[in-house]
Amino acid sequence: MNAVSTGEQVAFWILGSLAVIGALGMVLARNAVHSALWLVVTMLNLGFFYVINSAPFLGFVQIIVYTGAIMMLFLFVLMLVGRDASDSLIETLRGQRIAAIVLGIGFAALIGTGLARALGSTFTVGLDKANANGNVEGLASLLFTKYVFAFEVTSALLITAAVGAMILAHVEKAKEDKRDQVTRMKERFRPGNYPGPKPGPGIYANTMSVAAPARLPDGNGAERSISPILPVRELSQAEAAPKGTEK
Amino acid sequence: MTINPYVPIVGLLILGALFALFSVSVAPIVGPKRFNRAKLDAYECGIEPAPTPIGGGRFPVKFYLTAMLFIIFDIETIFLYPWAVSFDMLGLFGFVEMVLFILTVFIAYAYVWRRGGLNWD
Repeated sequence: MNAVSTGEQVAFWILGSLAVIGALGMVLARNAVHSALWLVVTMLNLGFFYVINSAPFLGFVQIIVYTGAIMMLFLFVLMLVGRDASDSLIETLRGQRIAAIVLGIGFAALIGTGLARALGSTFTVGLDKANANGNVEGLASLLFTKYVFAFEVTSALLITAAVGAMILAHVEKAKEDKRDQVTRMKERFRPGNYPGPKPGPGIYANTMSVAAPARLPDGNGAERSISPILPVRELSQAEAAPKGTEK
Repeated sequence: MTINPYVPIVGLLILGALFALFSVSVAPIVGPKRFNRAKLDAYECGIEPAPTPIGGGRFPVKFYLTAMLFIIFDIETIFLYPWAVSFDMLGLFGFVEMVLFILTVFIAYAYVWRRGGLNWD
């Protein structure tokens, strides 16, 4: 069994506690966005763990891909579906909460003892040799020679991800709905349509927000100056008041 | 004398933290304070931060594609790091296989592009 140095033990207790705190915060946070941010703490600490266990490449990949990209995807999805779904604390099944706690602790104990018994007395074989020229170089010499096929197939996985995202999020336009430049120009100069540029949002308004419509010369708001995806906002009395910048 | 490669990283971390703390704590002391509510507004961009719509509002689902494309190119970059570090060792074979990999990933990009996934209307 490999000896564990004092420094590694100290690091384990600090990072491990932080990771568990992050995981608990993720489960207990009422707001889904806070939950995702707690998960960042856990993922970041796992990254540090990898670095300490002499796998710096894996550690930085964990930080770049998981705490960076995957977490961004989580937050995007949260914003896509909206955060207004409030959780209910009513038990659907009687005794559900106690059963969940007991089973959860039991499952954690099972996994923990299983891992401890399986990995407690193992030796690392060939780790020093693999890392002889540095961790990243050792990884590269394997990845780009012995496992080159798996590496190339990864790109197929990425294509699958793109196709899946297209199927989920892309609304295909029918061919006849795609208007060419001639029809768009005819539409633009047809009587009844104002052919000039759209007014910018916030012009002559009391606020610079893009959600505030521009003012027309008669003082009314120009509805076409706001993007339809923005939530329309009614300014409160205090916000609409003069800001003291007028001379 | 060889220096541990993590010393510069930790040093940069400490430097960044010190700079942030310094800027945030010193600015209110030395900066002039002339109150004007217009300064608190979004300037020519952005949405008024408050009051927020119920549920925080929703984003158009189009952004999901942007996020997924970002992840795809992020993972491509991850593979480029070890490749770049050991480029001399891998030689022409490594170059060809990386070109093949990048070309295949760009098929995903070309697919999204040609199907109109990047058009915004």
